[in-house]
Order: sequence, then C-alpha cells, then structure tokens
Amino acid sequence: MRSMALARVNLRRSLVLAGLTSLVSFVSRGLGAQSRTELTRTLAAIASTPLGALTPVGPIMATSRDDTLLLGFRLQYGSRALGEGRRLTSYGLTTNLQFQGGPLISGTIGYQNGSDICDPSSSSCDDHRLMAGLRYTSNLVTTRPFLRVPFFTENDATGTASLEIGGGWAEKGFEERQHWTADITVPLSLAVGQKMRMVPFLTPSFAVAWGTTDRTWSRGQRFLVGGGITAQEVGQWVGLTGLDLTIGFQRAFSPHGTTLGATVTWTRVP
Amino acid sequence: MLAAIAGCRGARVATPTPTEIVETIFLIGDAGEPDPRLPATVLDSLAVQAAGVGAKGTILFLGDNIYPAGTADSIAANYADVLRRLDAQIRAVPGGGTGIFLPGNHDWADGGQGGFFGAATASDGLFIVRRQYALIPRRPKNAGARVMMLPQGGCPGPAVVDKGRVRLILLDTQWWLHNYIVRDSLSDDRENGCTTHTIGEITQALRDSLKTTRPGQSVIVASHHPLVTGGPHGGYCGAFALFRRWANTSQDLFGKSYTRMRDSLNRALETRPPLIFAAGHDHSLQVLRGRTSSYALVSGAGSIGKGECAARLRQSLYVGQATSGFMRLDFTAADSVLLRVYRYDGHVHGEVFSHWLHDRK
Repeated sequence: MRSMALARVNLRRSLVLAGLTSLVSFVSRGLGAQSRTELTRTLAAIASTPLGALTPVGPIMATSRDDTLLLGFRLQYGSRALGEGRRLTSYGLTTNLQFQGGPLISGTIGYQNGSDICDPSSSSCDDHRLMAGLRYTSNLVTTRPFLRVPFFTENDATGTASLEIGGGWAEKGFEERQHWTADITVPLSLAVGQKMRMVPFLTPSFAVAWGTTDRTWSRGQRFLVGGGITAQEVGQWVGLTGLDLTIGFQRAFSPHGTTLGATVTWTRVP
Repeated sequence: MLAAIAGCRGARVATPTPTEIVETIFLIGDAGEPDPRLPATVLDSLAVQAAGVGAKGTILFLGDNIYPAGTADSIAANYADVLRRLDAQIRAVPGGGTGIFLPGNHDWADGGQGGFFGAATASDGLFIVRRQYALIPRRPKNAGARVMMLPQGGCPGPAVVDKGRVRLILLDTQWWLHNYIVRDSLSDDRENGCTTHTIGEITQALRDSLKTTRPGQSVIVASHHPLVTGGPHGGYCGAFALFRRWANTSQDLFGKSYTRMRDSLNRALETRPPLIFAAGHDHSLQVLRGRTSSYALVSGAGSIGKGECAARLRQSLYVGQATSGFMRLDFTAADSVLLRVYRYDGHVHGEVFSHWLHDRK
C-alpha cells in the first residue's frame, strides 16, 4: 500500500514537473517569437516594407509627351540602425513605367537582412526576408521660377509638388508573419541647374501599417518625413541620358526610426 | 565645380569666323507684344546681329506676330497698335536680309469664331491672318530687305524656301487647329494660292519636301506649334497643368486636334527626319533632342515680360525659362551647324548656350 501511495505521489510530482516544464517551454517560445529590437509593431511594419526599408527618390523628371511608355530601373539601398549594434539592411530593384512623359508606376522587389534581430527559435521572424511594393507617382504642380540660388545663376529654382500613393508587403519579421503598409506622400521639391539638375526634396507621408500573426491582425498609423537630394541626368557628363543619383533618408519619429540610403535610377530615353 | 554643374557658363563652344559662315537663320517667336514701356532689347540685339550677316541672314518669326488677336481692321481703334507691333519686328530685318513671318494662333485671331453655321465672316481667324499676309509686304522696311508671310494667306503649307545649303519647310499649324475650316478636297483655296487642302495632301507634300533636298542640304521644318515642349502648352508648368492634360484645349499638346496634328506630322517627318524642327508657342527657350528630328527647338520668347516656366525634360539640352531671347543658327561651308541661344532678363544678357548640331537620324 505504502509503495502504491509513494508511486502516486511520484506520478503527481512528475505531472507537475512535466506541466511546469511545458509551461516554461511555452512561455519561452512565446517570448522567443518576439523580435529582439525595440521597434513598435507599426514601426516594424514600416521598417520591413519598401516604404521604410528604402529611401524616397523625390519627384519624377518629365520626358516628352510623345514618349508613350518609358521603361526604367532603379537600384536602391537602405540601412537603419536598431541599437546595440543591430541593423536592418535593405536592397531593392524597382521597375518604372512612365506614361506619356508624366505619371510613373513603380514595382519594387527587395531583400532585407536584419542582423541579429530574431531569436533563433522564432518561427515568425527571419533575419533574411523578401519585400515588395507598388507606387504611383504624378507631378501635380510646377511653379514659375521663383528662387535665386547661388552658383545656379541662369534660371531661378522652380518648385514642384507631387502625389504618391504606395503599398508594400514584407514576409515574416518582427514577430509577424506578414507586414503590409499603405501610404500617401506629397513630395515637395526645388529644382535648379541646367545640364545636370539638382533636386533637393522632402517627402511628408502618412502611412498605415498592418501586421498579422496566424490568427490576428494589428493596425497602426504613422507620419513620416523623408528627404534627400537627387542629381538628375548625372550621366550627361559621360553622354548617358536618363541616369539619376539620389541620396536620401526616411524618418519615422521614433528611436531607431531613420533609414539612410541611396538610389541609382536609369530611364531609357529614346 | 558648382559652376560646371550649373552648366550655364561652360556650355559654349568655339565659334566659326564670319567668313566660314555661309548662311545664318535666326529663330524668334511670339514677338508680337513688344512693350513700349520697356527697352526693346531682344529685337534690338536681333537687328544688330542680323545686320552683321547681311544678305546671308534670314529671320524666321515663328508666329504670334501680333497679340492678342491678329491684324485688326484698318478702321479699328487698335489698328495703330497693330502696326507698331508688326513694324518693330520688320525693322529688325536688315537691308539685303530676309524676314519670314509664320502665322501663329494669335495671328488667326486666337482661333476667332466663324459665322453662322461656320460660314466665315470678317471676324474669322482665316480672314484676320489673310489680312496680315497682305499687310506685311506693304509696311516700311530697311532698304533691300525682303519680308513676307509664309505659308501664305491661311494656307497650311508646306512652303519650301531654299537658302543655299539650307532648306526651310514652313507650316501653318493653326490651320490644323482652327475650328472653322473645311478640310477636304472640295474646299477651294486656289485663289489664295493654296496647293494643299487636306491633311493627306499636306503630309504628302511634307514628305516630298523632305525627300527632294540637294546633297549636303540641311533641313529646318518650322511652325508656330511645337511637337515637343516642356512648357505650359505641354502640360508641365503652372497650377492648372494637370487639368490642361484633360481639358482638350486646341492649343495644348494633349488636345484632340493637336494630337492628330502631332501624329500626322511626326509620321511624315519619319520619312526623312530633318535636322531641326523649330517652333514657338511656349514663351521660353528650349533646345531638345527630337524624336522625328535631330533637334527640336522652342524659341517663343520674343516678347519681353511674357516669359514662362519650362520644365527640363529628359530630352532637354538647354532650358531658358521666364526670359526673353532668340536663337541663331550658323551654317558653315564645312557642313557644320552651330546653334547659339541668346537671352535677356534679370540674370543674363547675351549668349548663354551654344552647341554644334549633328544629324542624328
């Protein structure tokens, strides 16, 4: 009898131990699924998709209205420091279609590498992941020349306001299985220069971001400000038309909220 | 370095000596609003340069010779002002030189209306432009100067003028855009000397003119309306630029009539692309690479104070905006062509850009 009672106690102890072990294991898996950065869910979604992973390129350079459909490409690089030596590094390849010299539709396929941002046991966070985006851009208004700029003495600077509507997607990262963003941006720019055109710009944006785990969706929104400077037609110096170079930033107002990057754009001009 | 990036002072090249130049063409457009309160810098400078080349020079006035509504009737209150605007331009043509006035939309009374059921009346643009055609040769001019309007009397053209190693092919593009013209083979304008009456006849005549050049001859096709521009008429500048893309106005590149004209002329020009397609219409100075010509020039800044914005396009080699000025083409015996741009505004006075033109087609 005594031995049976002892066996029951041992069994109970084993069950309790097994339960505790399972609980500890479950809890540790849940924590492990979270990213090892301090980004909020919204900011994580923005940082994962092309909107925040890469930097803006400013307004479109117009072409002749006779150019029914122009094809162009963009190589983009963006980098964001996350603290404690961690970093998000992104690369994008964008295909541009420009219609009748004006509006632009851009499709981006990108790759992002987050150094040491995921717990190794996480199933919904990957240091290496894909992202994609689609944007529509159109210049709204170009002003008369109105601002005299030193060194660019021949024509005063003109201002341009544009409109961009974009959407982005990224696969698992930062504890979510997928990230989605949509944004509306109003790029504002000045343009000076004759042979090569220097275009400093700002890109205030309003973005909505979604993240999804297996069962639930979460949503948030952010204001962002991007900016930079584009040297349009930089290839004129070597006789190559359609080559632009941009350095820029994208800033969400948060710690670790700034992406720095560079873009090379080439448009085939007949 | 910054000056080089700015590209304003480094864009000039060596110029030929006067003895090397065999022909000079000046391009000035939209010069029909000389403000009597302002110094006539542009036309004065043009006159001085044209006098320097004498009989080798031809000035092409690229339309809109009289703002705002062409040549008023001689009994109209503004007739004296009409004469003042026209005479200011005719005086720029030196003795021995040639001045050719192309018609623009404002010379057609800015698309002025036809009569009842489209029957032409004295207020119709066609009558107004014919009045200017008749008036120009009668105005006082420098001794030995020849001035004329081509294409003549509201005819669409093309009018062909051979000047040594240069062939000028001149079009009245407002004919395509005017609302009250019957464009068929039955519309008999032979009394006005018109040799083409339909779009098909015009484009065929244009093809023939392009094909029948002499060896070594450079071709300039000129009209008032450009086929490519970064200015407001191209839908690029100003608060209403976006709306103008959809507004279907006859004077903008996206208008239905304008699009039909562009398509027709572009197809004809592809036969043998000319060196230059020159036009005015937008009040700026633009040098562009052309699609159906090696170069497309917009020289519509002939009136001081009318300068407008012009976007720099991918095709642009030079853009002068909110300015006034003209362009000069020097043809040398060695088959070379030098383009020079002159502008006059608060920034600069004189030559700002020069470029040796090459036949790229």
